[in-house]
Amino acid sequence: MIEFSIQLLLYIIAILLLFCGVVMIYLIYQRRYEERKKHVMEKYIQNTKILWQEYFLEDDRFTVTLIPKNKIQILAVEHIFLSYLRNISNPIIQQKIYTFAQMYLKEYYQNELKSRNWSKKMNAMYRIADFRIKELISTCEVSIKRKHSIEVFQLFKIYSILEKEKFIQEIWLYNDSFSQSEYKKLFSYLEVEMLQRLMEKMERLQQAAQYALIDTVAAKGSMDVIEGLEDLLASEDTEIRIRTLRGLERIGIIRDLETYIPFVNSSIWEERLMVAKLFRYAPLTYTAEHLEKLLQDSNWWVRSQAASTLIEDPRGYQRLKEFIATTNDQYAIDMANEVLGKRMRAV
Amino acid sequence: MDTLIKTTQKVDILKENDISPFFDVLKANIIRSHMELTVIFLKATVSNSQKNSMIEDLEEQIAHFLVSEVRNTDMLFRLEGCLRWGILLTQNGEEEGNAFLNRIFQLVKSKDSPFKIDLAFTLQGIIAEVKNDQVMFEDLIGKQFDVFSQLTEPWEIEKVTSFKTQPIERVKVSILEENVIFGEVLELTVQKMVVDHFQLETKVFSDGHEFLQSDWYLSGHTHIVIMNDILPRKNGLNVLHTLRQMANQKKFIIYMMTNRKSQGDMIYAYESGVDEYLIKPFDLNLFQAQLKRTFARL
Repeated sequence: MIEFSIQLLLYIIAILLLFCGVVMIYLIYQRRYEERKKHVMEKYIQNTKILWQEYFLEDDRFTVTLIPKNKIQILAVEHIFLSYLRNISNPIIQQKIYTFAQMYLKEYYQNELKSRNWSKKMNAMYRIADFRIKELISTCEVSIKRKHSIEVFQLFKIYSILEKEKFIQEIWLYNDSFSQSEYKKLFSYLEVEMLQRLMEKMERLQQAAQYALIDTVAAKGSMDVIEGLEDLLASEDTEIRIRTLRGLERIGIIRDLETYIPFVNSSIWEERLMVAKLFRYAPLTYTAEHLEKLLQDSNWWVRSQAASTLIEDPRGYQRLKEFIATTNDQYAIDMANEVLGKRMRAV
Repeated sequence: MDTLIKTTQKVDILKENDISPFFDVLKANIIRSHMELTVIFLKATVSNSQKNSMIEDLEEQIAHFLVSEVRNTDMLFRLEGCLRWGILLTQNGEEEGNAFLNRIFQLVKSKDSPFKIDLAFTLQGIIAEVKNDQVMFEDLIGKQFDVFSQLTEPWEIEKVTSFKTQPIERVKVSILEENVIFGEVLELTVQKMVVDHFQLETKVFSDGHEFLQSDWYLSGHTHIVIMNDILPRKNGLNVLHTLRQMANQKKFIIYMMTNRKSQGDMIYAYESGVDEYLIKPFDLNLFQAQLKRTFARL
């Protein structure tokens, strides 16, 4: 059995207490320092906010007092700029911010990018993207030596905002993969024309990027992308076909109904579901027959969607009544009755 | 109103004294429901002195004619004195009153005139739009005597503007925004707006809890609430549900600011009672234009 003398134990306790005390003092000091920093920042914002309002919202009234003189003032200016950029959409204000950052903040971010502190470097990269400081892109490229995925993602984000051509070249060459949500974020900064270019050589992208690209293209809601999306319906990848159908449904325009008819008989229920949803955008005269088939589908979701699509049409109520009278499929009858009941209750 | 029409069809139309209580009720609603009210006065003049029986016959025929021309929502009444009538146009302004009078004059002057009397006459009209609740019916009656005495030309229409002065209405504007800088920019944007007949009182709250704890929102004033959907302590949707469950919830006009762009979120917000949906970042000029439209509807 290990034995300790009382004296040794007391020494250990004293050392631990001393250590705790030092940690405590350090934490208190840090907290005080942060509070003081926050207070100075708030005071600076309070003192300059009217000047900033006049500079951004009135005619040019730039004064040299707006130029930050130390790090705390730079942080305060960052906060002010981000408040404007994230809440107000105004090209004049945006340009004023970008020009100001270019003139008075660039040097600060350049030094931060050279810092060994990773968080400082990352913060600088975020602000470079926010304030569109194009001249620092090469410094960013040099600074990310370890190729941390967050750093790489941020660099791609900077490319997608400031160097779109380079983004397209780099994304094709990038061997690792981001998550779908990261790809969506990157693609969201691109215009429809750029996205169409990516779609033309979609097979060169990572799978997650392909899925994210379809979602982003559809979210843009442009009619120009419909043809490109329709081409993807011939893909061998089931997920691509389903996402494309979902994207087309989101855009809400059917150019040629014949493109979608084969999906009524698809062996994949998600495709049958999406096509039942898509038929909302075509006249019931052409889709009723297919919707009635989908109403007798083996999958509950497909039946439910087909019934909902039918009832949304002004003539759908009558059509469902007639369908109930002529079919023997009890599941389809139940579903039709359910939506008819809902309609009656809503009325 | 149907009863009124039926009785007037027997040329037993309301008298000047009968209309005064109706006018008081309608006048009170001008402020409450933000609807204007217009009173038209009509006077017929015969060219030469005629027999009393002919004048009475003419008066009856004009009354019949007017009964057939007014709508169910209008009130026709006979004024003191000979060949004078008044028509109360509810929910109508000066322009509609002018159009009505012009139509009446054209019908009377046309070859297919409905009058079966061999007596030449002309008409004159006065239009008085009422936009505040301080106007007394007696003031209108007195005014029409003065104005008719000054009209010299037949078929003349005079617009009386002295009852159009709108009272200044106090409107509260609350801004619920966590970001102090943006909250103040919004407040400044609202304060800089010049809106006729409205006095704006603005207040900025940093979260929903602070807003609901204040008694600021409990008054009966029209209240424009501009709030973020995500707020600390109590978020915008909670505030929205609380306001829309209040008995006098119609006084609130709610603008929801959000970063969410999806159609589903927008539909949910509108169905929950949001009046305007602003996706951040948004243009301040567009925001001001939307606010101006809101004030125009008040």
